[in-house]
Amino acid sequence: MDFLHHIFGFNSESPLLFTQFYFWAFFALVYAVFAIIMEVGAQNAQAKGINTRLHLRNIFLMAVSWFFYYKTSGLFLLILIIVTISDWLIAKRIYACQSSPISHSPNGASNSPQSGRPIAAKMWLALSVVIDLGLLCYFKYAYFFTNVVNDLLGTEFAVFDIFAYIGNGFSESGRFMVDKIILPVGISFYLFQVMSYTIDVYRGLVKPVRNILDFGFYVSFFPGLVAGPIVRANEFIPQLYKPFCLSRRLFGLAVFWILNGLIKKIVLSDYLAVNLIDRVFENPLLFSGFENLFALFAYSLQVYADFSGYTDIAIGIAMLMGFYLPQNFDSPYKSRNPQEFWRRWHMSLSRWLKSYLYIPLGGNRSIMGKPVKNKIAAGNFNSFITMLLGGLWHGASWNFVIWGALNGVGMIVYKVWAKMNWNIKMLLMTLLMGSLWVAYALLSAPIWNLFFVWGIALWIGTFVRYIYWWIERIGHFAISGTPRAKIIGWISGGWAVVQTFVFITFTRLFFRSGSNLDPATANQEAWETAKNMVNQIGGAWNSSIIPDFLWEYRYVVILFVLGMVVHWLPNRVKRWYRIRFCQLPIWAIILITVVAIIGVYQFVTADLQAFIYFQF
Amino acid sequence: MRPRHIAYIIWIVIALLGVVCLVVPNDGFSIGRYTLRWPTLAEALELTNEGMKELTSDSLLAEIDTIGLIPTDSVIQQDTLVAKDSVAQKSQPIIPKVNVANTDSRAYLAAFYAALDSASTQSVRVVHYGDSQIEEDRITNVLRERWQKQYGGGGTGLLPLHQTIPTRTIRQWLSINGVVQTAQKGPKRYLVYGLRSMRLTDSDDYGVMGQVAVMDSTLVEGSEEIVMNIEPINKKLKPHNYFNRVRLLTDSVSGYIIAQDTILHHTTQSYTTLHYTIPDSTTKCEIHLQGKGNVYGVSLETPTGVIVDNIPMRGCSGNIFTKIDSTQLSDFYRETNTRLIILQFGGNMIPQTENPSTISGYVRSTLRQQIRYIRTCAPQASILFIGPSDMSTRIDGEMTTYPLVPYMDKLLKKMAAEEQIAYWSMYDAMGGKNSMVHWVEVGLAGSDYVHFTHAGANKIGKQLFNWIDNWKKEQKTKSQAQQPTSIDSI
Repeated sequence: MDFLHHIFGFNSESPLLFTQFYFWAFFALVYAVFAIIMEVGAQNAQAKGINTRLHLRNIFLMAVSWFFYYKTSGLFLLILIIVTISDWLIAKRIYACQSSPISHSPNGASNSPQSGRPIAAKMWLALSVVIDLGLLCYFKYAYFFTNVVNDLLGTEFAVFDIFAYIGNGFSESGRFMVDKIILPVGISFYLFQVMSYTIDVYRGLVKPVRNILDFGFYVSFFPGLVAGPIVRANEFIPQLYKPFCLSRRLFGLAVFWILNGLIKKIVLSDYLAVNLIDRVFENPLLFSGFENLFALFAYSLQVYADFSGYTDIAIGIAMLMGFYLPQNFDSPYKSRNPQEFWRRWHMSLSRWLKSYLYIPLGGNRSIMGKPVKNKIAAGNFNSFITMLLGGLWHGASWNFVIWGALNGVGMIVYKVWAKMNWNIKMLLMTLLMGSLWVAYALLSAPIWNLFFVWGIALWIGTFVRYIYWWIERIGHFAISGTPRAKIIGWISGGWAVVQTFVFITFTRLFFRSGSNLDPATANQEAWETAKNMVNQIGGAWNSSIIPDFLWEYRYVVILFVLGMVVHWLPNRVKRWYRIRFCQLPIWAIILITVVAIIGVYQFVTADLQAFIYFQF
Repeated sequence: MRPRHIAYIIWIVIALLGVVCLVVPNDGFSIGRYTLRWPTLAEALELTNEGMKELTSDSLLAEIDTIGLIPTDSVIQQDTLVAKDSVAQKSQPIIPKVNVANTDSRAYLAAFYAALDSASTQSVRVVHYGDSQIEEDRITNVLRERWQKQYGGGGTGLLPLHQTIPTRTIRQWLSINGVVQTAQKGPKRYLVYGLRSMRLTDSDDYGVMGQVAVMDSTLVEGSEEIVMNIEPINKKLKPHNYFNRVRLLTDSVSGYIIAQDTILHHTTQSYTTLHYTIPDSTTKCEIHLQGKGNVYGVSLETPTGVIVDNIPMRGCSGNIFTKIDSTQLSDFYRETNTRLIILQFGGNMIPQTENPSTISGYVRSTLRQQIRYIRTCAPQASILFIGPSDMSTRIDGEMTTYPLVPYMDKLLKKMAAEEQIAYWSMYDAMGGKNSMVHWVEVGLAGSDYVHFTHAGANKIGKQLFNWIDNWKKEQKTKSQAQQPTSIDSI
């Protein structure tokens, strides 16, 4: 019985993760049944029709996905089922309420204007949004809003889990704790997914799914269920009705993504986190400024490797089953500015926020519903609000709001900066540099040391480009079109990439500080961590220990450098080795897979780096 | 490709990995300095019974413990071990066995307990030295809070002139002409522990905190003074936030303090101390320092009750007391009526060595020497040694107690008994072997498997306080029970 309970029961301590052998054994079994359904069905396809086979496959995969979610989140599966049913029903009602028939393009898109929708459709849409956002707010932001209210009004409200209360048979004592609200895994992702579906139906961009089981499959498809990518209905639902198709090369690509993801997640992310990053963020005061700074940059790589590693595996697994999930990352640290970064980072969320938040907010046409002439101002304002709310989506603490705000400011500053005349740019940068120098000289808070050093770097970069601009301006020194221009272009591009990377890394200070915290104390702890890290980086630099640190943490340093080098490899190089892998014979792919898994396992079991105390 | 082909491939990969499970020995393949590891089938599917794992490691230890004892010296009885199998040889150092007399070492705190009873008329001081485990006033703050609640007293005790690691109780900063000073810009600091570059070159005048700040306010333009600002961190004030006496430990620096909007000059002066008396209790003050010289610390306290100092020395293994001028130490301990000195060291030795003889030498020789030196400087004080916490490292993929932690704990216990000082085993208090893993899981310790979180430090602080306090209560109960019944009471 214990064995069966271990296999099928829910244990919050051992969720089903892509990095466990147990998951892959589970996947092998699932795939075996999947193959039987597809193969047996294929033999009878002519007689019974292909739809029966696909229908059976979809039901099977939905059941598997629900089991997957149960193993990860237990009874929160009910929330997933509730939103699946509610949004499916509401979308049907919305479609039925549409005043006039909508002409659909072949891919399901409609040319109908949004205006003139019947009030009933609007009401149904509002109901759907209230249910979805209500659940999200309840589970994710209950502590945050309670703290805000208590701070503002001096009250002492405490959270109360109404679902636990109902689960206990309307009692405060019983199986479930009522004084603590637990966040269901992946709720932010699947709620955004169902919201996109209902809104798209309202907008006439997609027809409602007839069969609730198909819709349930779309919502709960397990590879992307707990951490995305957020798949839009019109990208995924058509795939439900297409026959299985996976070419030999695509199979190789799927395996490549899975291995790539495992290496990113276990070799880079987990190893860096366990051996350095977690320790530093947990107690920044134990470490010198250099160690704090290194940990911060390492975290930038870790968070990318962790998240993109997960999505790589999800994409690979889905591909093996003949489904295609959208790309979620495009080497984000190659970005030359914050705006480009958000086009390359968590792309499915960026697209979602653009479609369902930025544009409804008014895009570059209106602010708070009022049309404005200044499109740039409207765009910037709405971008900022979008980033702010996007920050809050990531987590319920002020640190995430600050993180979102910093990204918003970064994007706006870049947009304004990009359109400026170089004389003004140089003037402004010099003024900024001067102000930072004054602040550095007069105010001893460590943050000014940090800003001053960063200011020097920015000023030098701007000055060099300013000189280049002047040389360009004087015709007879023109460089454009010469071989030298290419080199200068690379240097300039590289400098922009480094600047953006540094900026994004410093915003992550707030992102990481607010992560993995008890929501009840998240605000205070996150702020303390961020403040202590800034103080250490800007103050207790203690450069004499740098050689010791580099030597003692050599494996961490080597991994970080390797990770960044691979990340910054040109796309053509990455494409080359990806294609080469896909073209390998099957036996070679199998062999490489086995060797890679054994190699990755060495990082799981590697001894911890010795803990070393470095003094002030 | 057809789904069944893909299914075959998946199963072939799994089968090959399964074969590797059977081929690779439990403790992996050694390739040079590295060991290639691979799990067993049961481990791979996470079906290993936790109890089984525990039994395996315990039986390994039991095997080690049952081997015969061969006395090697008069101080500690050690045995020579032969680990019986390759696993033991590989993952466990050969650890000598230590016999420890099972006596309650709290009896050695009797003088301190007696002194506590006089705390209503004079101040009784407790000095808590330790490594990074007590940084930020962790653990000490629990002792202080509870003792001050029971016996009165206030203030946080000693503070360095420049606090580089913020504490949980006091916010302090140094300013010159209103500008806050960083550790780099403020007066130069010298430490008896830590980086060698921060040592004094021409003297051993580190003071009772093991650190000294050398200041020269004559270089300050305008005001010619350096100001130390002190205020409480939390809005909810506790007894230790209130103080009415300030003690400035210095050789030639002078100054005044501003508290409750009043300028106060020192009232008395001893060899290295200026005393300031504040008419009423306060929670914050400014200390204006003038002149040129050394500042060894500032103490916030009350004339009666219990004063508890928190003196963390990061990375230190407690081997530094003999490097501090004995006159400075003895003057301070005597003047302040120091009746208990707590030493909490040893944890920094553990990750640095796998050699039991290094640990043995450290405890038997280095620590013993330090304890005797402290006793000479503070003959009136009881001494309590706190051993290292449980600490874990990853061995063969599992977080496990460093093999030398229990060994060091036993050695310390034995050494303490021989030196007639009290010993508290933090390792035992946590739950013994592998308890750190549990403490990390429940959020009481950090992911380095070494340091406590604030919650963990509070818990261990309470355990320590109860351990000390209960003995006094027990003695009281015993003495009451033994008292002959008075005829009048019949």
